[in-house]
Amino acid sequence: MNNIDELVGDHLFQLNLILWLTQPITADIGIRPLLADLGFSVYSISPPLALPIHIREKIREMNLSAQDACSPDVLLNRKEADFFLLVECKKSSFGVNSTTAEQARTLLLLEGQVLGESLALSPTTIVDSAVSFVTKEDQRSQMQLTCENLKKEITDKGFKANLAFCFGIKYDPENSVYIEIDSIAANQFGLIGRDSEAIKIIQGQPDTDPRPLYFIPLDPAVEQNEYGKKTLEQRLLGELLSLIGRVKVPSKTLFKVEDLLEKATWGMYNIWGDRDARTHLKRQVKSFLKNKVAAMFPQNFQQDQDAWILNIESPKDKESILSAFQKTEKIEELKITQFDLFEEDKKLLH
Amino acid sequence: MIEISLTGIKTREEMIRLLDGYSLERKEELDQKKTKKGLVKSYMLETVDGFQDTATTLSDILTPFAAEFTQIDEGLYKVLDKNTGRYMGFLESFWDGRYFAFYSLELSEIIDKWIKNLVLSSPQLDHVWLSGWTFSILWEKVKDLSNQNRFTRIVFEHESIFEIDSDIDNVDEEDSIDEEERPIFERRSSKIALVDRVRLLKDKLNQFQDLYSPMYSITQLRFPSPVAKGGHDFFHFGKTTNRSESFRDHRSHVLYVLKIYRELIRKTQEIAWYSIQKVSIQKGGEFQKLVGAPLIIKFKEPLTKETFNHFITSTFERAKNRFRLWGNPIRLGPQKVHIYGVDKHLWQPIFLEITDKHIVAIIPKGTCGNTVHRLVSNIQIYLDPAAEITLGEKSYKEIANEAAKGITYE
Repeated sequence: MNNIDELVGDHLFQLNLILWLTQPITADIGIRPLLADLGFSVYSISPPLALPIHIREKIREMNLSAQDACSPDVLLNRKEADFFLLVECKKSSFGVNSTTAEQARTLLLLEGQVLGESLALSPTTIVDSAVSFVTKEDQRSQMQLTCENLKKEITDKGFKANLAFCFGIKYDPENSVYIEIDSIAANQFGLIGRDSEAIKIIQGQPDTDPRPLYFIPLDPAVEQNEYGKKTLEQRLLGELLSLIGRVKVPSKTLFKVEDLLEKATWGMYNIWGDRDARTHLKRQVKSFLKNKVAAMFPQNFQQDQDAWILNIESPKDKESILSAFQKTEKIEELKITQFDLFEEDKKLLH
Repeated sequence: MIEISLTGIKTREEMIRLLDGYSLERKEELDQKKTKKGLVKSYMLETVDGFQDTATTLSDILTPFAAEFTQIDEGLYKVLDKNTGRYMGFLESFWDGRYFAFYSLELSEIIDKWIKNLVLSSPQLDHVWLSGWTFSILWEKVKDLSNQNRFTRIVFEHESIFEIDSDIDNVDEEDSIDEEERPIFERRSSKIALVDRVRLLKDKLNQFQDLYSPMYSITQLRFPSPVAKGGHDFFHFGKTTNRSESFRDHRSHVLYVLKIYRELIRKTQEIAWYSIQKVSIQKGGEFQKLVGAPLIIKFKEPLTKETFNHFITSTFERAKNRFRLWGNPIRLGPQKVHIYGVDKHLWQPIFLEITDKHIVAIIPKGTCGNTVHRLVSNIQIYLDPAAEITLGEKSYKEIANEAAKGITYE
C-alpha cells in the first residue's frame, strides 16, 4: 500500500492542507503558505450557503438538478478585491449525474452577487468569486472536464456560473507534496509563468509522513482515517486532563461529554451535519468515561444523566487522578486501530 | 526575627519603611562583603486569564495550597505559610490580580523552594518567564536608561541536556547534588557571567553572540539602580534580587519589567491564539472563521538524531520532565512527531510538531500566552540558544520590541 498516495486523496488531509496554506508563516518549516502569499485568508470553514429565493425558483423552473444549499469545505477571501474562493475537497472526480454533481452545480451558481447575497454582504459590494475543487493530480483533468460540462449546462439554461478551478495534489519519491494549478487559476491569481508547473507546498523527508498538524481532527461526513481519529482521541484526552488539572480543591465540577467534544474539535462538533455520527461519537466517549475512568475512580467520577460530576476532595485525591490519567494513551472505545503509517518508526521511541 | 517584624506590619507605609530600611542594611553588609541575612527578593508571578470555567480569586489561588493571606490594603497582602505559621512575605497585586509581585526577606534557599512549590501546586499560578530574547530587549533598555559608567551583570546559561540520554532531566532543579558526586556527562554546558560597565558591554554583546551561540541564552540581567550603587538582578523565572539600597527603586524596576511582560503576553495572545471563531451574520446563521498564527521555533542547526530522540523520550515518557508537557507522540518519521498535548504548568492544551529542524506550536485560544515564553526560554536554555522564533509573520524579537515601546520607567 502506498500511504502517501492514499494521503493526498484523503479529505481531511486536503482540508487541513488548504487551511495551512492560508496561515501566516514566514519561517521555513517546510510548508509554503501559497494561498496566504496570494492574499487569501479563511473566511469560513464549512459555511452553510443557501441559494437566494429567486435562483431557487429559477432552478425549478429550468429543471436544473442542483441543491438549494450547500456547505463548501472552506470559503476563502481575498480582501483587496472582495474575491471569494469556494473550496471543495474531493478524493476523486465525479459524474454529471451524481449527487456530488448537484452540490457542484450549487457551488457554481453561487457566483458574484448571488454569493454576496448568500453571505449577507451589502448589495453595493461588488463580489467576485470562483469555485476550486481540490483533488489528487491524477483526477484533475477528469474533474476539469466534469466542471466544464456542468458549467456549460448552467450557462445554457441562462444562469451565471462561477469560474471553476481544479487544484491537483501530487507527491514525489521524497514525499514532497505539490499543488498543480490550472492556467486560468494561475492567471487569475497572478501566478504568471507558473501555470504549467507544479508548486512545491510541502518539503518532504525520506520515510516521513508529510502531513502538518490537523486543525480539524475529524469530519463524520467523509471516510475516516486513522490519523484523524488518533488526533481526536489525543485532543479529547488532553481536554480531560486540562479539566482535571484545573479544578479547584475541594470542588464538584459538572461537565458534559458534548462540552469535551466541542472543545476537542474547536467547536466543529456542533456544526457537523451528520447527527447519527455525532450521537455515535458521544456514546463512545461516554462509554470510555464509564468503563475506564469512573471504574478506576468511582468516588471521583459520577454520572448524572447526560453529565458527569468530577468530585475532588483533597490535593492528594487530585494528584492520584492526574498521575493515573497521564498514563492513559488511548481511548479504545473510539475503535481505533493502531496508527500504521511508518509503523517501523515507532520502535525508535521504545 | 524576620517573622516578628512582618507580624507587626499593618499598612503599606510600614511595609515600605521596613523593606527600605532592610535593603539599606543589607547593602551596607554587601559593600563590606559580610551579608548575614537574605536580600530583599521579588518574585513576579502571573495568573491565568481567559478562564471561563473557573472564577479566579486570590483565595482560590492561595488558600488550598498552604498559604493564607491577610489584606493590608486594596492590592497588598501579607502571606502566611499555614504549615509553619511563619509570614513569608508580601504579595502585591497588579491589574486586577492578573500579575503579582511577592516580596520576601527570606534566604533564597528557603523562599525559592517555597515559591516553586506554591506555583507547582496551583494550576492558576505561574512564574513570569523571561526568555533570552526578552532579556535582549531588556538589555536595550538597560543601555538606554543607565549611566554608561555604571556596572551591569549579564549571565548566560545553556546546557544541552538532550545531547545524551540521562536521568538529569528527571531531577528537580532545586535538588542540590554535591559537585563531587555529579556524574560526568560530555555535552555542551555553559554558564558565563559578565560584570562590566554598560559602555564597555554596549556594542560587544552582539559580537559575543555571533561568536558563541550560548550567549543568546541570557538568564540574568542587572538593571543598575539610578539612585545609588548596586542594582536589581532579574532572573529568567521571574525572580528579582534587590542589590540596591532602595526597596522603592527595586519595586519600580519590578513594575517596569512587569508592564513590558504584560504587554508582551497581550500581543502574544492576540497573534497566537488559535480558534474557530463563530461569527454571526444577519441571515444564514453562523460562520466559522479560523484565527490565530503558529509559534515557530527554528533551530539554528538541525538536532542530531540522538538529541531529537532523547528530547522526545525524556519529555514525553517521563512524568517529571523539564518542559512539564504531557502528550503521547504520534511518530510520523524518524525525526518528526506530532503531539496533541497539555502544558502542565497551567493544565492547558498545546499542539506541537517537533522535527529535527523546528518546533511548530499551536496555542489554542484560552491557553495562557506565557506558555509561549516559557517554551522559548526552556528551548534556549536546554536545546538551542540561538533558535529563531516567529509568531505568525513577526519575529519574537520584533514583538518583544513592540511590547517594550511606550512603557516608561517611573
